Amino acid sequence: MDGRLDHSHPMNGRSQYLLSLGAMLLMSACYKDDLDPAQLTNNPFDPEYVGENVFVSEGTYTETVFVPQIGNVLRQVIAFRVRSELFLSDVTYSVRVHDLENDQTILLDADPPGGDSFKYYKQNLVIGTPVCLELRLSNNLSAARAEEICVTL
Amino acid sequence: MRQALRIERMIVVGWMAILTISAAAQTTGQLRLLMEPAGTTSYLLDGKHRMAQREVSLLEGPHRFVFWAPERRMLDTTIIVPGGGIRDIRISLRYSEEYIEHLSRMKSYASMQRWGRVVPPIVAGAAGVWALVSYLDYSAAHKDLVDLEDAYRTSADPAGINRLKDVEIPAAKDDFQKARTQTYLATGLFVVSAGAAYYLRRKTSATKAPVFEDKEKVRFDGLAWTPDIRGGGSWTAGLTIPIR
Repeated sequence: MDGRLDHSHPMNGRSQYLLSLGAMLLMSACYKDDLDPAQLTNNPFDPEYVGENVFVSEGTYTETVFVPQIGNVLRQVIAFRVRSELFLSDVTYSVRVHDLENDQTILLDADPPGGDSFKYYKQNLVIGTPVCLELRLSNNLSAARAEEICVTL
Repeated sequence: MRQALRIERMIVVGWMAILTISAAAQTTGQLRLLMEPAGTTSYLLDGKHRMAQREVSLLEGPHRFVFWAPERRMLDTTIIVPGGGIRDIRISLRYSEEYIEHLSRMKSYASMQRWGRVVPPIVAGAAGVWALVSYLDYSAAHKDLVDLEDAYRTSADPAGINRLKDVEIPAAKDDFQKARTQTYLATGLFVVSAGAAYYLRRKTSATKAPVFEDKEKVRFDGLAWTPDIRGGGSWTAGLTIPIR
């Protein structure tokens, strides 16, 4: 328009276009489709978890507690710990305990709260015979892989 | 001798009388020419005079007219001029075969230019937009997969993890694969259409627009005979040189 000629090389526009196209294709090729649900097994809350044991037994003992209007009661305490270092992130959780001796199931929270230690109480003492518990991490009424610990008083 | 002079005088007077009578008998008439196309039609009168005016006074009797206008066909006709009157003549010139053929060639040329230069870039542009949108979808699908993987790592809900592994991740993988296929297709179409646009642009640029050669004009110009004062004359011819 102003009398000057456009001396830009005609390949410049095409080169940029091909370059951007190539970059797009290259970026497309970079996206991998390697997420395999079957390979996702390292979360302890996953029912298909295949890692190390999450629960560690910390032994069993008896203790006496005072129950109003009843008096002193002797009970068995089974202590265990959750290896929260295996968790992939900071989470809150409960533990579902299935007592294989009496077939009762209860949901336990940490004792003391906020920690990883848990205590299961049995009112009827079982002496000399192993007591086995099936333990599962639990949240929102669903439970993870079951592990079994056995203790003998 | 006197007798001879008298006879000679009578002969001269007689001739003059004949000439006077004949001149008085040949009256003129007027022609009013309504020519289509108006403004550009010219004509050659009696093979000598090239004119363009709409009204002309002529001696009564037949006169040869050759009408012509640019892009039109010549019309060679004889018009009888009435003595002492006005006659309206309506002349409509048809398009010449060469011009009709030229129009057809121009139409083909314009069509080729339009299809060769306008449509492919539009298709390429649309394919480019599609490729871009597909790529964005593809990126979003990939991000969904990454987010689901993160969700697996941060989830503490066993039922949620089951749903994640059984439903959400397979669905996201399916979406990802579809988005990837679509991106490849769209990019391929973009490449092909852009290549076609470039090729057709080059091809159509090399094609020259048809030039109309008005052969009727050449013929019409060749008809003009210009008499000179010595009784001779010269032919006038025209030569059309397209200037671009």
